[in-house]
Amino acid sequence: MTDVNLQRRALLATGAAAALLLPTPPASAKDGALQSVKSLFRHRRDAAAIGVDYLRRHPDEADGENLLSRVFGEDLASVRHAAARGDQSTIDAKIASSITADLRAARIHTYEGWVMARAEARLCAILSLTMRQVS
Amino acid sequence: MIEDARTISDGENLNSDICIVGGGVAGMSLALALRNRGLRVLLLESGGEEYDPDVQALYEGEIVGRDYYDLDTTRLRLLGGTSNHWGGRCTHLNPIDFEERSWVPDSGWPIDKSSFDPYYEQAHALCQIGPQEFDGDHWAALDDRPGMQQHVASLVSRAAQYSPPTRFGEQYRQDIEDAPDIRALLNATVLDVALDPNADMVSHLRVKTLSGVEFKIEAKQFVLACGAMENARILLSSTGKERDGVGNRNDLVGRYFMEHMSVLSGLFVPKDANSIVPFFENREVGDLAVAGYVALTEETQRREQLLNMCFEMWPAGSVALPEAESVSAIHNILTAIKRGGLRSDTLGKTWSVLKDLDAILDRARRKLRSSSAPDITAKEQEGVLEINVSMEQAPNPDSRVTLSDELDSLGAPRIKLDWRLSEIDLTSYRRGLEILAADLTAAGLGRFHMEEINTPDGWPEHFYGHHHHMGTTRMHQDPRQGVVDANCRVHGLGNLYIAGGSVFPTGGYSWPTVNIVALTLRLADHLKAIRL
Repeated sequence: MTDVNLQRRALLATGAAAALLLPTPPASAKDGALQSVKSLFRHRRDAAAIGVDYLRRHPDEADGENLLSRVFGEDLASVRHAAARGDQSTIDAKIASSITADLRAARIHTYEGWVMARAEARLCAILSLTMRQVS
Repeated sequence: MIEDARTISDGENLNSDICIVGGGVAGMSLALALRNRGLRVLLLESGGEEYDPDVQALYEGEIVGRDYYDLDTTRLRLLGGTSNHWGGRCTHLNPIDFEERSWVPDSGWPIDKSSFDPYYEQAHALCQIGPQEFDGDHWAALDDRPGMQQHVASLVSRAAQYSPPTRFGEQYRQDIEDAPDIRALLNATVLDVALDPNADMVSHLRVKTLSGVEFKIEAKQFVLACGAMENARILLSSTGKERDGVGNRNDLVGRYFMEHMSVLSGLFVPKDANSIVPFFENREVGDLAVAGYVALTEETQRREQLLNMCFEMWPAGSVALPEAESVSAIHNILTAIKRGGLRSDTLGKTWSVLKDLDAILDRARRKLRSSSAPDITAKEQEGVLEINVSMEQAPNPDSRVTLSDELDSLGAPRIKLDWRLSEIDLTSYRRGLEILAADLTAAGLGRFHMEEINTPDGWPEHFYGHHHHMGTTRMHQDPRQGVVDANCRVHGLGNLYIAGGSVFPTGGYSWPTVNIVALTLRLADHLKAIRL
């Protein structure tokens, strides 16, 4: 089994991961939401390392719901609906909007010298939390 | 006319209406501006028409505190002064540079940019640059290059113009020679500014040559135009009537020494180098050399409470770095580039994650804008750029020029330079760089890698001064806060003026030469208006 498949199974196995996008999701919507999370990163271990670094510097945010709220703000409900519908393009647009808003306000996180929007680092942090749950 | 002071009789007394000390950019500009006004102008230059190591050695001095260039290499002592190794870059000071900013201690000029504006046209002519146009997108459009303003929100698109560069000694020597009312004396070094018995007027200057000739100069008005270090040195060492030096009753002469910091700060990996590099390239538009840059907007400075600063980008490896022991990521990447290319794995694992995120952003942008996203996989290995920050230094009273115990070959005390930075310099640098990185990334132009900082003082390893010396005789209406008033006259003295960057209370990020010329031309108008 490939590493990707292992991680996908690990993600699907955790209720915590589902809770990130869907507090009380129907089964079909849960899969769609998890796919949405997974599709963000092809390099999940590296992304999780960024997330771990972010949470080390912001331990008060080490909670999936908290992180989602900070990334999407008032759009979180519509993101959840989009995830339930499998509407990846809407999710992409919301993520892009959050990232751009953070960058325009220079709300950034730096990891190994690379500069990223705080929203990007928070998405990595969400990933790291889900991976922590299954490890 | 131009004469050699070594031919003057020892002990002679010379007389003029206006005596200008220093034959560099400010001194020559002032002399030229005072022509044909019925004034007898005496221009003193410590050096000759050619470089002379014995004369240059008069500039040697001591550096304490922060490391700095040797004091005899950061300036030149010959006709034309430091313009003889000037790079030629010209930009105007910005309106905010003149303001008293609550977050910048000791900021604020007693004049604003409108006081400079009437003199820029003539200053441009003297510096041999083009029209008063510094909008980066304007110059980019003139030769069909992409602009930057459309991409950035916290930054403003700007351009610098380049002088040939004008070597003032070569360019204007003949004008000085031909002027019947200007008498230029070369190899004439001022050792002392002597005051009258009331200590409220300069009575004469004591001048000496390396050949041993010594003479006095009397004038109605005197102007020191020797650069920020030497202006302070002359005032501090003139202790005949004032124990702490001329113009120094409030212990301000020599303080507030400022530089422009230049910091190689990181790398930018553009998605498409062709969309960004041409803006920043140094190129010729017609007869004029220009280069684009971006700077913090005034609104950004106010919102974030930052010093003024600007940013340039150059293809990585195009600027030679001094050999260093650095093992920073920047050095690793530059080394990889020099060895024949940049592969994605050189950029590290984080780069792969950012590519994932960029792919999401590009998908979203494509949908939102109905336009095609850049092909980042094809472009990512091209055109890595180095980021250079040039920034204002906040006024700092502890950053100062004092006198050393050592004497030069004419018996004058040498300089001791103690260049110091402030906390706001570093915090501004860091935050300014974050804003640049965020703005460029938000525009989808690429990704930014910051220099890792492992130095004890928190500044990156590749940190330099621009050789822009400012602030040692700062301008302020209150004698307790400045050495000269708004007309560049030394407080408490009726006939002593100072020209040059030493009167700048703050210096923005702007390259000072054309601004020094403009302010000097304003001083010329003031002197012309005085009934002598």
